[in-house]
Amino acid sequence: MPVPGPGGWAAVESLGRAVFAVLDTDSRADYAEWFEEFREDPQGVVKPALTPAVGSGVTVTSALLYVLPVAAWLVKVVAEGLAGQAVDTLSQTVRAKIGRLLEDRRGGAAPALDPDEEQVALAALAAWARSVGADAEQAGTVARAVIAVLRAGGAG
Amino acid sequence: MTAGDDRQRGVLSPTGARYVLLIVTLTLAGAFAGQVIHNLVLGPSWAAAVLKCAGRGAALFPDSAFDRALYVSRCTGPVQRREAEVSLVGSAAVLLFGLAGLWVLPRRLLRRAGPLKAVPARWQELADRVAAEMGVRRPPRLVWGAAPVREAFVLGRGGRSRVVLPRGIRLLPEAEAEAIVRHEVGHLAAGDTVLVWLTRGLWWALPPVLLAAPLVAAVQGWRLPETSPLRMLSHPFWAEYGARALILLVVAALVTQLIMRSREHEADLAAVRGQSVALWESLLGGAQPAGRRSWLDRARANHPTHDRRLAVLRAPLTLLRPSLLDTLVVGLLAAVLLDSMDGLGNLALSGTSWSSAPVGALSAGLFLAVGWGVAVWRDTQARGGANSGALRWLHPALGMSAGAGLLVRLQSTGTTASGPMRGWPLLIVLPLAVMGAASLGAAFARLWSSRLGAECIDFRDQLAVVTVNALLFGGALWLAMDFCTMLKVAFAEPVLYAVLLTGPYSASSGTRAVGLAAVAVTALWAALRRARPLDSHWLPALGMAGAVVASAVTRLGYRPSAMPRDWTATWQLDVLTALCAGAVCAVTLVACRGSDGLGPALYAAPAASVLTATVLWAARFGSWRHPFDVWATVLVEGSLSGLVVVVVALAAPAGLLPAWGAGRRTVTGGAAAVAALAAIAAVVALEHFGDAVLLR
Repeated sequence: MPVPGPGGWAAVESLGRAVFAVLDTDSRADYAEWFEEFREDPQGVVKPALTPAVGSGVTVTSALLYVLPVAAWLVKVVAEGLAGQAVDTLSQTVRAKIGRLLEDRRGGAAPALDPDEEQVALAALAAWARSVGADAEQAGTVARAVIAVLRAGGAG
Repeated sequence: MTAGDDRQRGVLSPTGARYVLLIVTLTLAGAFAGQVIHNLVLGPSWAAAVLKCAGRGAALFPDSAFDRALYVSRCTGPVQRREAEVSLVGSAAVLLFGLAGLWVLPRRLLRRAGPLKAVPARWQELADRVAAEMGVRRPPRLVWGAAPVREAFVLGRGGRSRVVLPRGIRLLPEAEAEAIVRHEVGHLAAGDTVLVWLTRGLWWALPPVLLAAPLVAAVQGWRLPETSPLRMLSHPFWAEYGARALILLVVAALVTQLIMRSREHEADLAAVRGQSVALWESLLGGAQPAGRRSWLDRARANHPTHDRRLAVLRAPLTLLRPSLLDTLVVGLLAAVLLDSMDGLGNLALSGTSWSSAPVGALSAGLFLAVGWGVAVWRDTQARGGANSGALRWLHPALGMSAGAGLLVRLQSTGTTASGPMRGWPLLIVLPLAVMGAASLGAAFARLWSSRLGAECIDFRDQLAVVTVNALLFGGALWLAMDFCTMLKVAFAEPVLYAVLLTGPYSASSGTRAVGLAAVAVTALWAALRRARPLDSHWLPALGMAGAVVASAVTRLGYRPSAMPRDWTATWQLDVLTALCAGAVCAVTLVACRGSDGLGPALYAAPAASVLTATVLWAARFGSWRHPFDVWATVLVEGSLSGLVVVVVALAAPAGLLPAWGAGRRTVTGGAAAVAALAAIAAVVALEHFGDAVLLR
């Protein structure tokens, strides 16, 4: 799990909050608490799921669990030029556009991603979400929510 | 829709009975490992002691095989007891390892689930409220698990219990989150949180204990000059030992899976009590990977599928009903237990006048009572006093699996050619005895369950059901073992004399008579307290009256000249006449009501025997020197002891019959006539040909 640098956490918090707002329509989650827990142990989400033999048999899962890992990854990719199989499909142009979209809250007029670029970003985001344990549906949900946030004008 | 009430907890719940089953089996497997180690290490000194005793016995009692056997038994007592003690050390090792697992395994899981974090107060308040609703006196402490925790689980008991919740539970709708907390507290309410870890501990303890024996053999092969580890372990004994150990481990794994799934159902039922099932439908009705799982995944799963869980929540009876798999496992393990306890008893009681048969039979009987009898009764109770239609077909399966248990038991290693304990006939007799006891247990469940619903189950009910089933199964197993022992004795007519010496002339007739009397009194009490149609009471009363009057009158009034007139023959024929009256009564009731006749037969047949014996005794009152002793210890005891054999033998096939004739006055009215005619025929036949069955 790539961990953003000190400056990146603010962007993760901002993007995560916006994506939570899209997905958590009932406002069930206390986002601040959720973010703090993720920041304390970002590697926890990539550990294999613990399914004890004496467990309830009801796996508690939600697309929201993968929002912050995906947000952290995206910030790391854009801000720190992370390399990797899923990342390499994102051209420098797309990374730059996403970077500006993430900063859009500061008042800049960032250029939007065109449809092809959105599809590429969507696939990369979903692939990362899958790699940290989300199923296909949850990965697609999170990826689409991130794109929606970016389309709506960044994380702000 | 709300779920039905189901207040069975602890070892008397379906899961609890399975726990007992597995724990006992695993522990006894350790005893066998201990026995093998004893033979490897102390075998030479044991053999020397036995040979020495045999030589002395032959010298001291050259003409009396009985005295010689008695002497050898007493003389070898110390070495036999030493073997029993070493065997028990094997069991103790399994138990100790299991207890260590009870301590280590939950802590290991907690460490993997950590770091743990206290939940906010509102979550703890939820747990407190749910615990109070479920009657859990000390609510568990709720903690968040680390990110990898995706399933809630509960550990510990009492004030030390903790529920570890996945942090993602906060993302669920409030009602679904509460459902998960209720499920975990449901485990505490069901009282299985310690048993589940003990079971897992024992499961992990067994392989090393089973491996200890071949390891000791290998060490001996290395130490002794004339052999080698490879040579020691290449003996066919070890291949057989390995195969049987594998079977045991597979069966244990199977039972473990049954337990794990059953406990989830019980926790679900405890959690949903008084709640709407719709909530669980929402929680469990989501995506479920069951459809994509292979059969192997499904077999290995610790949890039932969500569909199955919902099915049980909607119809809790499906959980109560004994399945074919339950039946096979219970029968198989009961036979393993029977044999193990018999073997241990044989060693421990060597040199005493006690027999090991009742030790094994009553242990296995108690085990069958808890593992099978209680399940049948619970199912019958929930059905308002009717057995499920499939039950009668499970009785043969139970018997056959018990027979299979005699073959696959670990303790048979190295002695396969000599057959099961007490010889090959036990493979036929034991399944029949188990079938008979199971049919009688089901009949008793019908008697005991009809008036009250499933919501009215108290300790007295449980005690009565366990006691009666233990007596039925234990008694039937004991009969089967004694019968096969007697078959080995070289009589001219082995089957006839084996029946007589197991029944009316048994050395244990007093114990058997008391056991049958206890069952009869309990069954009569159950029948009288029920609100039933009057004809249900008339049928056994008329059948009994017909059999008693006809038997006694025929015996006293009909004296063919061929009959011996000495007192030995007189009391033996009186005993057999009383036995005939009970047998005729039982057969009449089964003829009139099919398998439903077995319940009334449980009390009417013994009553018929006792009444007939009493009439005959009263007619000869002045002839006896100690009339009251004769009544109790000769007539009643002998006839009831014989009746036990008849009732168990009759119940085996009668349990397969459907029920018929309920409420028909013609059937009720005809019962007395049929019983009287049958009794007259039976006693006349006895008077003419009874010389063959007199013990001279």
